[in-house]
Amino acid sequence: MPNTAFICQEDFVKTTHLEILSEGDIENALGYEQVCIKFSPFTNGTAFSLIKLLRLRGFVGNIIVEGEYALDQLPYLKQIGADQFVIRRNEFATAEDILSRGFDSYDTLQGVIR
Amino acid sequence: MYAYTTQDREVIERRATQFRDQTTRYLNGELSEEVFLPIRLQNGLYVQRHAPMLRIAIPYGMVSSAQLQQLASIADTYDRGYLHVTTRQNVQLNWLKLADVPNILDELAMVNLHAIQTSGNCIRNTTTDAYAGIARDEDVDPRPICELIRQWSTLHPEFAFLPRKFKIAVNGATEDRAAIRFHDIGIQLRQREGDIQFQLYVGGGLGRTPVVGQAVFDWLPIEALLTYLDAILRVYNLNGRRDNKYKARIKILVKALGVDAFQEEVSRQIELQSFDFHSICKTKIGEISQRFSSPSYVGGLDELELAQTLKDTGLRNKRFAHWLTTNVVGHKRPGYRAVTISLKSKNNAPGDITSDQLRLVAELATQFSFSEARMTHQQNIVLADVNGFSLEALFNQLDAAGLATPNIKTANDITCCPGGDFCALANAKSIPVANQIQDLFDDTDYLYDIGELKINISGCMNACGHHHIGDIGILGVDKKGREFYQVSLGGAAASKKATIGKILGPSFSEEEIPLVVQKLIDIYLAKRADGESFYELYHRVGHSAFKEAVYA
Ligand code: SF4
Repeated sequence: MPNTAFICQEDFVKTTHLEILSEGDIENALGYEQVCIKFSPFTNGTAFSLIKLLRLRGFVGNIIVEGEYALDQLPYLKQIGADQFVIRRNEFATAEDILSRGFDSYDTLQGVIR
Repeated sequence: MYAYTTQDREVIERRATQFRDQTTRYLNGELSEEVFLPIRLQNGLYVQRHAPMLRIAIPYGMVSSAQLQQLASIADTYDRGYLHVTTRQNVQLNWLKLADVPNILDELAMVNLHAIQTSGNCIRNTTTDAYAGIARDEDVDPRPICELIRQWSTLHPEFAFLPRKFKIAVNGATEDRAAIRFHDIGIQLRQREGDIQFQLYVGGGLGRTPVVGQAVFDWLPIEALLTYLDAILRVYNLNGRRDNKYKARIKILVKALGVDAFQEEVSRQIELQSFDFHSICKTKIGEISQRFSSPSYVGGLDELELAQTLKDTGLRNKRFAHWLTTNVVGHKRPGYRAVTISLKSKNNAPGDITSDQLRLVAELATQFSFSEARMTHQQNIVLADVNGFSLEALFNQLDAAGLATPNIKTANDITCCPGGDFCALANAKSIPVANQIQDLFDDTDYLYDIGELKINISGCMNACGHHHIGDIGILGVDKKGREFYQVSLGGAAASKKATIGKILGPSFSEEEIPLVVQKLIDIYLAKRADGESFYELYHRVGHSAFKEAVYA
């Protein structure tokens, strides 16, 4: 069974999502069923706090991550509240492996979202 | 010391396994250089001038005898038989092979050590008072709070890719021995009617743009600590600058927003917190405090008798008397003392210790100090719980190994970064400069006459040697491709007098530095009033008195 956490880049249709670029977009997002967070570049960790804020503000829909994030960031993204990740077709195996190696460190202190 | 739980151990072991996989993928070419860079940095791994350098975390400086033994063995097996104590109470190995690092991490994990977040744009090792838990002027033992912060910040999923590195220090005593106003966040603790409260200084720091942190939040109940830290980090992560690494620290954000607007932003984030952070925090502090062992001190030691014994020993042994004055301080338990082992002996790179010496320190810690030691941010090692009647026996063993240099807090106790001999970022060397300055003070009577004096040396603007907060600060600069040194005066680390040193004037060549330091000390000795410190004199007579004498 394919891992539903991953969306293949070729199948990803942007028009169905609202893109969250900054804190200002979050208010707007609350009416949507799914939103998309775009990384650029992977070292810009603003996206982690945007995901957390969406959850803190009560967003219950689907959060999709796309853009230039690194596969090694998958465990953190999942912990912070992201649901799905846009990846290239040839990255599936590595991405699954990395995600499976992820672990919570001190989740209760870190407000990790399940 | 804090006893690790199964969970604590698992976190370290799983991170070591994860890093092994990442290193394998990197060495196989499956992980790009670009992505591996922050990953290896967050595991303390730098590429240095000669070889990769691994910085190992010593959480808030506390280390056990077993950990010291393991560090010595790792230094022998994988490095050149010595290691370096840093100004963040960590240790560094300078001559490693990248391929060995996963094995080293596994060996570290066996004794609950790791290199997590000792570098990179994340929350670094929390530092504190080297005399935590034993100082006579202590109101609150800061170590359980440091441990709480360690757990909260370890692999925190939200704060692993911050705009820049983030440093936190905690102090629980009247005197600030942790330089809390020179950290991104400095935490002062106090006790009020049985409850612990905290005050937060935000936006301090050294580096290219030194800033004295301001008190942004005053005296809140300790269970609110993580609420505030979490909110502050989120405000920083969302709003800190990422376009210019020299403007990316939180100090720049606090300045840009102003303290009031910054406070408002933090309060806004706090209002959003959905879960009960206060009770989680409170429970956790309770659990952590329970896991700190307290030494089983011998009761009934007589202070008067001890004073007489030490005096008699000092009369017989002048070297012991000197060491007692400079390297030994009081303890809140009657009859106990804290001993500082100087890593600043002559011709030694400040903060370096050989594996043989490290093993000896481990044995002495077991024999004399409940199997614990502390790394200090002045790059020395403290044995904090020594029975005063054993001091002579301890001294004799240290002395035989060259570890009883009686110079703590003197002009010889120089804080110094690795500089151009090791660090790829350096403008100039710092270790040889430290050694040349030490040559000025060969005569111990002269050294003691000068009294307490803090000299700090950094090889570049990054200020790892904390040159801004020395009485005399020395900074390596590049002048048309040549190594020069800028001197600054009058800095101080402790919160009540926190000051950034003022630049004396045009920079000097390496050969000129000892002479300059000599002149500065001559002025100090000539002008000081009885008991006046260098800092006090400098701020009394002013900058120009020193400047004129040096450039005359
Ligand atoms: S101050 Fe500069 S030269 Fe010294 S260790 Fe830090 S980065 Fe390297």
